[in-house]
Amino acid sequence: MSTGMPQGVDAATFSKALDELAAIVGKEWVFVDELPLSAYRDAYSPLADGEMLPSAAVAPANMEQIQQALNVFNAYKLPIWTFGNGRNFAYGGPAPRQSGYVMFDLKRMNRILEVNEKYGYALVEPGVSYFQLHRHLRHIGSKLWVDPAAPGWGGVMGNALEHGAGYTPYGDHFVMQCGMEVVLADGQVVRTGQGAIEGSQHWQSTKHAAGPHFDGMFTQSNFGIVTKMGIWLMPEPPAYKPFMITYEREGDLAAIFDAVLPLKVNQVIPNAAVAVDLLWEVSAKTTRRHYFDGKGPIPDSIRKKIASDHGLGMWNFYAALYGPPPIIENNWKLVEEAMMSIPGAKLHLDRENDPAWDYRVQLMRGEPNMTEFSIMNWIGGGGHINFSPISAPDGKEALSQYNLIKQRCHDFGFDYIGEFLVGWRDMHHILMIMYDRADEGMRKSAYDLFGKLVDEAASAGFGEYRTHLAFMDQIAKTYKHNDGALWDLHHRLKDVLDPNGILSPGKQGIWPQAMRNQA
Amino acid sequence: MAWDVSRRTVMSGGAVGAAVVGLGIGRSAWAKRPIKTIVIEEAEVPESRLFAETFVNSGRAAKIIRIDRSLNGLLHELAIAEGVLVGLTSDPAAMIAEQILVADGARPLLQWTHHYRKMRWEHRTEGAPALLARASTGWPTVLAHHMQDALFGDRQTAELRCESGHCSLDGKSPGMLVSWAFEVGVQQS
Ligand SMILES: Cc1cc2nc3c(=O)[nH]c(=O)nc-3n(C[C@H](O)[C@H](O)[C@H](O)COP(=O)(O)OP(=O)(O)OC[C@H]3O[C@@H](n4cnc5c(N)ncnc54)[C@H](O)[C@@H]3O)c2cc1C
Repeated sequence: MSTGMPQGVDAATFSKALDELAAIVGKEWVFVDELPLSAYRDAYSPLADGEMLPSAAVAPANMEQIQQALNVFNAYKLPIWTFGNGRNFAYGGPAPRQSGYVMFDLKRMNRILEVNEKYGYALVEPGVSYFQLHRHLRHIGSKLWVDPAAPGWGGVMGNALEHGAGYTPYGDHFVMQCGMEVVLADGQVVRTGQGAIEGSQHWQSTKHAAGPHFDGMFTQSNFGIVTKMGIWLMPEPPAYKPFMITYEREGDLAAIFDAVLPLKVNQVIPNAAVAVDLLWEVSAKTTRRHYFDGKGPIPDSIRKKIASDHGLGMWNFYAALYGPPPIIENNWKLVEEAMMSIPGAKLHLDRENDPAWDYRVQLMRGEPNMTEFSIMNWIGGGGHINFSPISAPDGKEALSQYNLIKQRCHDFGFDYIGEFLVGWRDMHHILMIMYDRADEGMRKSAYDLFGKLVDEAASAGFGEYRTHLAFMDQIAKTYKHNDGALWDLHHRLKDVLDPNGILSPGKQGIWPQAMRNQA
Repeated sequence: MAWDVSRRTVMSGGAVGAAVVGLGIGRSAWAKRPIKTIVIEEAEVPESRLFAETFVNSGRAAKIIRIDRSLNGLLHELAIAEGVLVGLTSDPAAMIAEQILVADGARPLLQWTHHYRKMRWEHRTEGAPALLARASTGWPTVLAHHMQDALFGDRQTAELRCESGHCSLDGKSPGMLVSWAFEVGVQQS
């Protein structure tokens, strides 16, 4: 298949379709040249060069243009790949699932349509980034916070649609989403929840309405194009107390999460509580080559030296308390009692000249930044791919996952670089497999390691909450209950809602009928 | 309207640092006209500071944009910059800059890599291997001069790889750096 053309479409037909699209969005918003299209690559792809490249990109300015463009895509059966800010790095960036797709780039639609100070929400379009919303809130003198993912250039909508997470008490972004406007493949516009009531003023304050909830169907899927989304924003609390506790031994992980669970479920710690491993934590401050120039995982003796040089633990636990000072004071007693009871625990309420502390403290109070990208200096050459299994926040469980995954990383010659993040009742384990993109052997090993982890995690009863494009099919197949009934349901919906199979084919392993057998 | 979709090839993957040495863009026009050069300095990175300082000392830099370790400045300041933007930065900073600039219509002029391993710097550039190899820890100065030649004077286009002699790595250096240049906001043919 040519990388320059959508599958099954000849150059003359494609050119004609592009003419029609240019008439809708303007010629300057249709891209076919090498240079602008290079912006739609996955800069950190774990695949060999030359895969997952687009044929063209089209950037509509509003919902009407989306509807008209969909007519063209349907008429020519052109597969498109929809995104907002397109910063989904570690999971594929803006790149399409397969080469030849037309990028449907919604970055131009970046209006903040409403900020409601009283009820604490914003209504945004797909291209609004965390930085933009944060700046806007400060500009209008709002006392509301955004809850950014670690990279502040990410999109409020794109991240929530990917089930992404942040670090304030509003960190589960899909939970904080309220009300969507969606354009279906045939151009019909649907509003979810109370948005379906003509003239509703409340579709960003209540999720509930008569009938089923559809919002979730438009997340990590290819059933529609979301054009507006409500997001709840946290009012600035009267006080805020961030802290970090370091733990000396790897095995402390079990005790950490056993101590955290009651604090989380009782809302004593209201934000995403994160246990960060030594190497992730230190990689914002130094690099591997400063300590070890050999191949394979860093020896334990050197890990101990790193920990001592930087005043870190094998696990470094971050969280924060929010609210009126007397409540913080009271809750702090509970936190201290539980979290400091683990032998060797050291408490940090401030750390000088420590970029990792600085950016985490910023994130926990809703200030977007880009510092976490600097962890990519650890290896150099920046390649990384995130393996993200999800489970219940149980100490024994966390430790056995850690031991298994760390062992596999070592088997493949990689350092374990990861963190565990506890939300409401869930535990996200994020393993960052880092490799040098210029080292073909290392890239290939990272790919193989990932594939093995998916299968092993599935055998142990875990699924991933999100994944890179290259592993969507493999992960979809791990959802096997009752002969894959869940993905059968996805496919049945896909066939009804998008019979021409134009919307992001293959997203999350959901393929249209015509492409299903090749997947 | 004719879209030249049949002859066009889409740029293959691999981003900054992944064996990308130069993009083969002719530079002859540059020699003829004065160009505003903006240098991006990653303030925490010692090599980046030295590189920027050399640009300033040689009278080539119209402006310096200093980026702190939050890297936020890359988003806030690059979007409004115009002229030729150059930098010697960490790999993540180079990746972020590339994303922002290319999406804004900038044209990459060159991308070279500098990798510290086994106690030596390995440079992958176009031209000047002997100078860089000899430079040891002062290489960012040599690089800055060489980049000025490449951008504003005669350009050698052969890809070259060279290694320095044994030298130490500054405790603050990321040890893997990318030197890059983009042309922004200039009318393109
Ligand atoms: C160093 C590093 C740290 C990271 N930390 C975090 C973190 O803390 N938390 C986290 O969640 N992620 C994290 N990520 C992953 C990722 O960078 C962010 O999740 C980022 O916000 C996703 O990109 P985006 O918001 O621009 O979404 P986009 O790329 O715009 O969208 C993501 C996907 O959502 C869908 N989509 C987007 N818009 C629409 C639409 N309008 N209609 C239909 N479908 C749509 C598409 O399938 C698209 O591919 C990290 C990545 C890196 C490299």
